[in-house]
Amino acid sequence: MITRANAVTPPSCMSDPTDTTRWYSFVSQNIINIPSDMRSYLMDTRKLADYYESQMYRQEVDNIDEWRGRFCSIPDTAAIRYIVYAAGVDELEDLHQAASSKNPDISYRLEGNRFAQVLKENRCVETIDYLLFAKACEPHVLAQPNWGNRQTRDFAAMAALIKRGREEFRVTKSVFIKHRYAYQMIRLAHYAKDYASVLALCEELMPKLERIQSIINYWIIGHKAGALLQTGKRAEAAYHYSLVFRHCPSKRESAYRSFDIRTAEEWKSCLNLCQNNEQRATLYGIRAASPASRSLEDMKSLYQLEPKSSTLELLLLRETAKLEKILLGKDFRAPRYPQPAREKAAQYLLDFRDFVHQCSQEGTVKTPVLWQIAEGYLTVLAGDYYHARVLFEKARPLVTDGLVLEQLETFDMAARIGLMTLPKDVEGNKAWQEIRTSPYYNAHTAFERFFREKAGNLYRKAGMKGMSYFCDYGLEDLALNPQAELVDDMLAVCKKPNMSSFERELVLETQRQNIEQDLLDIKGTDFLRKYQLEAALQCFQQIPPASLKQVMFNPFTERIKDCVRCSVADSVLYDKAQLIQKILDLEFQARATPDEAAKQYYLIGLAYYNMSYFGHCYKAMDFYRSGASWYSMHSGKDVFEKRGRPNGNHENLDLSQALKYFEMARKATRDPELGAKSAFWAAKCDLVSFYRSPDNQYRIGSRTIPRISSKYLRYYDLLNSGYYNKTIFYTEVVKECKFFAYYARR
Amino acid sequence: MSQIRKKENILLTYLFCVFSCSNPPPKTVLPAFYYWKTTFPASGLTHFEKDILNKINNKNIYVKIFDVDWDEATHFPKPVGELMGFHSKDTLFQPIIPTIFITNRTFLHTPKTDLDKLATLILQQVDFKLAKTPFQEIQFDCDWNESSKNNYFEFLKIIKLKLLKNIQLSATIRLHQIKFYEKTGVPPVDKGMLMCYNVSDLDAPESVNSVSEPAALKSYLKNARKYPLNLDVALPIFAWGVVLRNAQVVKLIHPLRTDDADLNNNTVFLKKNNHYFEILQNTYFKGHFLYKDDVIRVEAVPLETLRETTKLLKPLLENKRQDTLTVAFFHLDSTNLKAYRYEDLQNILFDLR
Repeated sequence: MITRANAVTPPSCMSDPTDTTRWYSFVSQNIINIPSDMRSYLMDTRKLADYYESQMYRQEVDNIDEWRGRFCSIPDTAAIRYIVYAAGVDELEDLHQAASSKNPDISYRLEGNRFAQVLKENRCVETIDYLLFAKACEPHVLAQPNWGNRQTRDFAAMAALIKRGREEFRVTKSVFIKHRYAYQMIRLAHYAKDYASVLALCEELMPKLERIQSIINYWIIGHKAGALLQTGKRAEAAYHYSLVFRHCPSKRESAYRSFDIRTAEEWKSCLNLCQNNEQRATLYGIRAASPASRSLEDMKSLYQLEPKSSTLELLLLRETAKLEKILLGKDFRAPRYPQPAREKAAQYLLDFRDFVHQCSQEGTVKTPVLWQIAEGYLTVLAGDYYHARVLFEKARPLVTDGLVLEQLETFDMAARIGLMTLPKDVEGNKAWQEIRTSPYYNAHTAFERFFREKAGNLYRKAGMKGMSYFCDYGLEDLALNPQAELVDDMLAVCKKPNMSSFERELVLETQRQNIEQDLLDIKGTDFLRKYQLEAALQCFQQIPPASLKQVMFNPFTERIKDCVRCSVADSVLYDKAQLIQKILDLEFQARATPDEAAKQYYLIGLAYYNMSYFGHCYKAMDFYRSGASWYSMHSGKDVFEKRGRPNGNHENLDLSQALKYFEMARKATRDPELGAKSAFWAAKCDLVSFYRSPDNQYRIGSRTIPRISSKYLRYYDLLNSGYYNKTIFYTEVVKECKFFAYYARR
Repeated sequence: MSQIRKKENILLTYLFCVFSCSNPPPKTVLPAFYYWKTTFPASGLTHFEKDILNKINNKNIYVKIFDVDWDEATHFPKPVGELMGFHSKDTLFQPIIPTIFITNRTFLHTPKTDLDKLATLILQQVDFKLAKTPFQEIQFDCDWNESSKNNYFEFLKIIKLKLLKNIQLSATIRLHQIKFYEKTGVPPVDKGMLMCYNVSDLDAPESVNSVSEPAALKSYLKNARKYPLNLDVALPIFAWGVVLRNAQVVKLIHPLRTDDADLNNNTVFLKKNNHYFEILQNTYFKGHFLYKDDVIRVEAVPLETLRETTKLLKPLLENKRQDTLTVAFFHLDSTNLKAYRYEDLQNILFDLR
């Protein structure tokens, strides 16, 4: 129960339905049967760094695969990786010697390496020569360090290596190795920023190698594209990047990043360079892949050129997911985007759905049923849940793939939730239960949230504000700033004899007990902070005393220095009901015995002060006190914003009742000591009024003494007057309270 | 005797009042510019740019020489966006103030123990990029917040310790940082550069001019007078096109002004009003591919707005104990400069004296 006020979760841990970072999507990219690298160029750009890392690895793997193929898969991958990427020059030289001589043993360092053995046994001197050449090229093509003085590259050494490579290329017999010499030379020229040489080398060497199927071709094309870009041949560069993008997974991401068309003329030239429709389709695919693109037009072109393109299906899902972000549950979810954005998206949705419908009907796309399903989900996004279910029903028998079927059922579940109405009878209740117990519902964590958003909307429309609130928020949120209407609404639900299963779920706190006691506690506490003691008492009296006694207080104690976290050692403690009873008793006694009234009024004043934000019993009137509220005290408000809490956090900053009773006590007493105490506490109340006023220029944490205008110093002045400044309490307070001491000294 | 002393006192009080209650003496206003591009052209500044710098008697150029961003791969910050083509002190023929933009996430991620190393590397990089050209001031630009301020401020303290005594350390102060300075803190630097632009949310559909709008600026400046740091000011002279697609901002085209000749192509652009242009057909424009129905919101700062801004600023800066005030225009580019007469810029400087 909430009376365990201290059990209120800190706001940072609470749910926050308006938190826009908590997006969810029912679109799964896993349903398309295409390689993951193809998919990743469309993903979140923040992940591109990770992706790039993986591509470096991929490049290495692809190269090793080719080496393995070349050597009939005899050496294992690790052995090749060591020789090609890790072995030092001395190891390669040893190997070279072993392979060139008749009989010497292989160096002990490479003894267990199967690839080294193969090279030696087959006397592959040409290959080892190449590896030594590649090793010599390596320092010249390393990425520069992040920080510090970047060493200028040794252009002369690079030119010499190119010259040497050209000679080796000429005498080398193996086309496999020739290919790699060509790559090394072109790469060196690129790193030397000798773009003319890059292009000349490509021109000279590539015709001899183009017919060989190798990833090296695309690595070379990548360098050629870079050189073309640097020499201002932008369209040609883009065309070459598109080839790399299409055919070379390990360079796809960098090719996508480098593809840069800036004018209509460049675009046209680039299209003209394409030799077939697939190449043209690739250009449209790359342009459509831009994260903020409005891809429909490019998708249409892509569809015309290459209807079976995997990219087209990827774009289908990407565009659907983009629309989903803006339009999902548009008729019942809190809008995440401004109205103009939603209107534009809704217009685009109609055009996009027409195109998807066309593709699904014509059946020439790679996976027609995927388009049918997508059309259904776009219909969900348009808010036509009934028609969407009809489309899903038609598509279901055509699905053969398990993942695609799962996607269909997920979309259908979204449509079912969109179609929900408030349960009016057992049947309605059963329908809700069926949804919530469906395996597809439970397979996707976002459905619970989606369901609650829909249910919340239905309850809101039916005027059941409490249920609507509880679909989105919890008891802890409500306790921060109780709203009587919501509390009463939920209390009525708790008392319903025939709760629906969903209602029961929302109000059930434990297996046996619902939240009724918590609600009564919230309601009573709210009355107490509004000083409606009888109404508060009535609420607390409905709560079993044992529950109430979980949190006990004694606010009738004096403490000169405020310390909200300091407990007061006292054998007499009161639960909330007893506390109210005690205040009522004191009030009665004050009226009954006017001579003693001052003491009673003083105690009541203390209780109200101590139960406020500033007192050690603040938990009697509040469930959550934020220290941060001090910083905004000067705003004069008592409800403070809390992220994700629709009603904010109410702090009990009002000390009007405390001040009233201290003033009554001061006026009623003839005892200067009690008078001095009452004046002191009244002065503290005035000080709070100052803190809450716009006059307050003092800020928490400041080491300066606040400048307080005289209207807030009435009681300090009084306390300093001759009548009170001779009292024992005055001496004590000057000693204890530096703040007051300062004013006393002025 | 006591009577004479009394008269003396009265006279002194009168003189004190006369001097202290009259207008403060005018400040010396030093014109400056920001150079915020990533490539310095091989041909150097244009004749027009040089001409303006000469006419305005420009004193300093704040040159952004590189950015620093957090690198997930190395788990350490790295320099990015380095100014290319900028080689030596002679490149600009002007005294330069190296300026380094550091992303906020850099300070959110960098552990305190690495701040010293980061400071050392940045200063080394500055020396390297400037080929040891001497400078009198170095500026850091970071959109820090409550979460990153401790690290950022600690970093600035370390930088200050590492700098020669005669080099001033300054930091840019964004408008939200001056408005909420009690929360975001005051950087431990010799002086701040108040960036008087980007006053409203670029993404807000109702936003007409997110760059500069005096009423919005005023709301940010309420704490400027008591901000406990001497301030220079940066004023916007740039203009850009905000591309809205489906009513959401998707890219910025800069520089772009409403008088750009390309915008007169009626088959591609429909002028909705003085600042809004609707795209009638898919097109490439200034290197960007725009789709039919996109909207470009052109945002620029008219001269009147600049004058209003200076009017707002002048009283707020008067109580600062500084003899000189640098007024830096953001940023140095012919397209920007051509929108103003140099006399106008001079008048703005005069307004802030």
